[in-house]
Amino acid sequence: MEAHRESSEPAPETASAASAAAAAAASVLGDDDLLREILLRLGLPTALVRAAAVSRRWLRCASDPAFLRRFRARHPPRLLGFYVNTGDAQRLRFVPLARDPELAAVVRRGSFDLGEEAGSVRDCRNGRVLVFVGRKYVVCSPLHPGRGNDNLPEPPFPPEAYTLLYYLNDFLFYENTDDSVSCTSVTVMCSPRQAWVHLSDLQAGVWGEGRYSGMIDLPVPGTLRGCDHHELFSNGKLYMMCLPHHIVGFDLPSMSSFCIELPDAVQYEYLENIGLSCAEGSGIFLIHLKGFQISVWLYRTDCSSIGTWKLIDTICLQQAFRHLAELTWDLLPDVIRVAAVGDNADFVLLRIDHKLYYMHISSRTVEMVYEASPGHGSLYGVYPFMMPWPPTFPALNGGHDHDQ
Amino acid sequence: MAAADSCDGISTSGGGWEKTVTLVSSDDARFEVREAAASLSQTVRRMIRAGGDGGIPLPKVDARTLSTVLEYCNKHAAVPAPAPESSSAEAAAVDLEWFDKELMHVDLATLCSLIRAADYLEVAGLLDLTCKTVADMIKSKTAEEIRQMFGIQNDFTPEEEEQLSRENAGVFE
Repeated sequence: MEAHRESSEPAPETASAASAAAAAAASVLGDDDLLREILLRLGLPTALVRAAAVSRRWLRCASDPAFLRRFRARHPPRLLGFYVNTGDAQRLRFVPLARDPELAAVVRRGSFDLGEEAGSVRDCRNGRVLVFVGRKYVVCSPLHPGRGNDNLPEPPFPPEAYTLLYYLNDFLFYENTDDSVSCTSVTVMCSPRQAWVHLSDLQAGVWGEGRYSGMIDLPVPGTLRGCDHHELFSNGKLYMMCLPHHIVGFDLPSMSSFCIELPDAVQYEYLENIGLSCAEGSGIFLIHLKGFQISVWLYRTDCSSIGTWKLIDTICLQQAFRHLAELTWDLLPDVIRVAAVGDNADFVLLRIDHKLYYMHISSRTVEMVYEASPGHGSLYGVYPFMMPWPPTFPALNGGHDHDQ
Repeated sequence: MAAADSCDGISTSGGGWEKTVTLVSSDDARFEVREAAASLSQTVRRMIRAGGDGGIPLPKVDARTLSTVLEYCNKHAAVPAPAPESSSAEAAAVDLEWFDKELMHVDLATLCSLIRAADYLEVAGLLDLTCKTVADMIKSKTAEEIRQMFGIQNDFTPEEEEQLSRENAGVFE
């Protein structure tokens, strides 16, 4: 039973109404299951954190891992904005996009300017940005300006990569099953018929010992090729768009390799005509741009690990962009590109010349969100910055809930 | 509120013959309700299946609360399955949304009784609506404002409060 606060001396009938309200509220909020049902509907993680500070019992309900999984499934992390590399002459920019006043305030309290020397973003995940600054790689947390930046030491590099015709080295974040984020150095190598990867995880500021994946036989002889956004970490697997009709993948826990054939209608043209994104639980989303049409595909594997593609949605761009009069459609098929895709294919950022457009997939709403000044190079690399998840809840030592 | 002696009466509401059931509140008020509406409550649905005479007793819900719950059930059970993209389905959805909003214009004590009733009766839509209403009252408030609203004691030590605000400073404050 939660104690009733008697700070003032209200008139008798107000007092009885107030105590009736407090008793009724206590009968609901004193029930952990009902309290969780209410907290589940708070919507934003900022509101959840405030509610968790009410009492020990509320904190316990709000920070329960099973509850947090339900909360996230119901309210997927929202887009706060994006980083964009605007070409050699220009700096890395952050473009805020949060519409909700509470999220806009979160952005305002952050420090998104990564400095004059910030070159390009390599990855951006769960509130952290991996950026190339002044010849070294740095992990920044723009929402926690006080935490400072972590400089990454030189990662271990597989020496045989130098002897190969093709290799690619990159750094990526990936999410662990407990929602924590790890950083890994990925080197993809290939010979004319086979490909393999070398990975090393960053642990407490030190690169761990490298590990090799199994070899994968390429479905067609020839070298892998990449372009921006050709890699994706999702649910413990690394997916790479690097062949016209196939995705090459590596499973991190087992370091085994696999190859996924693209749907018949989809072909990777070594342009940004395809974007990949994480799917909640397992699998990936693929966004394919062809002519005036966007197709959204979901790839999932069943329990016998046989994967299937399912067409989820198709969008006619002429219709979606109808209200934006400045576009001349006869030019579009050649210049429109997939710049970035949100988790679960919630949204896509499209690049047309020096402009970026945000499209929310299910509602088809489109708006222009960034325009680079002409003549300042192309917009290469767009990295959505999402509201981080989960909030940090302190573990309280000892003590008992008073409001039980 | 209508009286009926059995739980399988017949009424003529809506122009056709519809099966009705009688629900009995904790304070012995009897409500005759269309079975389709009463079945929005999973608890009542199970009791209808189990059968019995003399109405379905609901000892945890008083007459005042039950009448509001049934108002909700009658309205929501009347809506046919929406044909997607049709204008009448859209109008029905708007009407239902307006109805739900009006239904939630109640004081906190009533709202909490409705949550308990929706939970006990397992009316999923009403539980969602009422919990969402309380969540909306909470979500823009500080922890202290929430405590005051519900008469909850702050049982954190000052160190713990400090820790709470420090962990989420900037991002989640």
